[in-house]
Amino acid sequence: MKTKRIKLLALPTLVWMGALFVLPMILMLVLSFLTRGTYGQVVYQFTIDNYIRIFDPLYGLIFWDTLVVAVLTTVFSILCGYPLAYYISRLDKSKQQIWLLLVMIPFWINFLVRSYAWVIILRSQGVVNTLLQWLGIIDEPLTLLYNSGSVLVGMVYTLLPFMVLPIYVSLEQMDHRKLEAAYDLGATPLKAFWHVTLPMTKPGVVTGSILVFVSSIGMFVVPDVMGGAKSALIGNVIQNQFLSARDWPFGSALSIVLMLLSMLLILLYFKATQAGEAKEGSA
Amino acid sequence: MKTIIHLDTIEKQFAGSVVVPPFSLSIEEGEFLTLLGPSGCGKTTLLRMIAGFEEPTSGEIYLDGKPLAHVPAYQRDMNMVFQQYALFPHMTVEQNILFGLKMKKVDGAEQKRRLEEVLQYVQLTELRKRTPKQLSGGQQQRVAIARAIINNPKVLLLDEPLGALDYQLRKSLQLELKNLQKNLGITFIYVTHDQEEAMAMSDRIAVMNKGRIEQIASPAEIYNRPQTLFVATFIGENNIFKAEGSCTAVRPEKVKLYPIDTESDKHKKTGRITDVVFLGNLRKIYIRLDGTEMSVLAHQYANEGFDWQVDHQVAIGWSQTDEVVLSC
Repeated sequence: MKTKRIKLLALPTLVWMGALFVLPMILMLVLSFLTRGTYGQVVYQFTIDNYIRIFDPLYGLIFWDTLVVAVLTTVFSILCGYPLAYYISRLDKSKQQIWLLLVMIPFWINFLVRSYAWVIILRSQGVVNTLLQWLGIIDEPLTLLYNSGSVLVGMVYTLLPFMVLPIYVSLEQMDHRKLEAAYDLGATPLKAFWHVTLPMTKPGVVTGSILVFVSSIGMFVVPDVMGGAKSALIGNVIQNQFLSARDWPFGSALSIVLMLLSMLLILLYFKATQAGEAKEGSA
Repeated sequence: MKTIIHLDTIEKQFAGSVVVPPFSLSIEEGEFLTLLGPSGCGKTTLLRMIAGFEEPTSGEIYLDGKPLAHVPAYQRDMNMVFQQYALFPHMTVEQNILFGLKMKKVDGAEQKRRLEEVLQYVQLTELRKRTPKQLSGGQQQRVAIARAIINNPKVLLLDEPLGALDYQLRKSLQLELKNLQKNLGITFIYVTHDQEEAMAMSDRIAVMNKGRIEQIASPAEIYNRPQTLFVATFIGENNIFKAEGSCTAVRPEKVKLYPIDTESDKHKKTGRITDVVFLGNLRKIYIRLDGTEMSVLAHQYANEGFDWQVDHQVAIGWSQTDEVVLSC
């Protein structure tokens, strides 16, 4: 009786997700097996051609590029995010609030606006190039924009908070006495970090990595604005299929494959980090 | 006996307020010294200064004759058993215990030999592959001790190591710890707020109050000859009789009860029984003294004397030698 009434609390979400997420997903799955008509309309005729098309080396290459960018984004986010989270966790409580606010402020500004701000900074007559030329360090403007490097910069910038916050939380939850115990047993601060702090905050790193990886794999605004035409990622291709090429069935097939691929990779990542734990546990 | 730890006029202040006023103390090799006091008395701060987690505001700590001022915690030749054990949750029992030897890069064969020895000593051989989460409180406690003693420290610091355990387990572990200390011959500095624990285990007890050491002596001395009013009332139960300028303390078990009209020369005071509390081996009898608001407590052991009841009029007395005179 009681549990039944408790279950009602989940109802709004279930209805919302069912109608607006699960249903469209099923629709997409169905769509991906249909045919595109000559004028971009959907023809109700079963085919698996859409999936076969994905094996075209062209798309394989884009998938590969997307994965590389996503992995690099994740790695750089850890490298930048962990030290920052560590620094914040060591501050006074009042200062921590300010720093966390600073980490989150970019979220309050429209995503597109922020991406264009980066364009203003990096373009050939942009802030960086003007400054370097004025200082006489360079003669010709550097091409800082519209390459895979600039995409990476934009991605890491955009997704960094997703890495910082979970790591910060796991650092905050860590019992400080464990560190003292490590010092007491003869660990230098560096060794104590490596053998105690880092393994104990691994859950934060794993959560952050999944959040960053999943977000970057489907990202199309950043590569669109900062990457130019050359560095299209799979997100851009999918966007094109739906908006310009008007090939909804193929776009759906790409989306489904992308989704399965990222699920597979997260599963592998999870297995790998879990296996690491088991191995440490029995060594 | 050789002095292993010497505290030379050390003092600790936090944000300008004195937590531990300056004092000196020598601890002998192989000694079981307990820092006993109520919470907030500075005993943990003192222990943490010795371990190197806090720096004394002034004064110097010597380990085996060498000053420790510029020696970080990880280079001090002593180990600590933490209050909640502070075991590493991501490591097995074995890895936890080996941590110290690994940090000091002791060679593999030696590590293995000492591990087996210690595991057997604390009876954890069977549980060596488990993680701390899979252990009971008492077992975790053994891991914490094993993790410390495997390093053969000169001094073992214990910060309320039994505090998180239930009463029965605490009792049996008290004995085990005492035996461990005897067998290993390591100096123990033990922090607790539990006087019974302190009594049962220590060679010497330092009773602390508000950062000061009130008295440092053997358990019997502390109990029988307290030097301050705080020690007299903090350790065990006591009756304090105030007179001009001084106080007289008499332990409840020294207080004798008599029917009102016998041997009147032994009587010191008379009163009425207000409460009798039965505790099995012992009855606690509370007596309101005639003409005052003061209450006296007397302990009566089984089969001893009279079957006293509430509202009986009694005469009470004690021998002169059981009086402890204190300034107050």
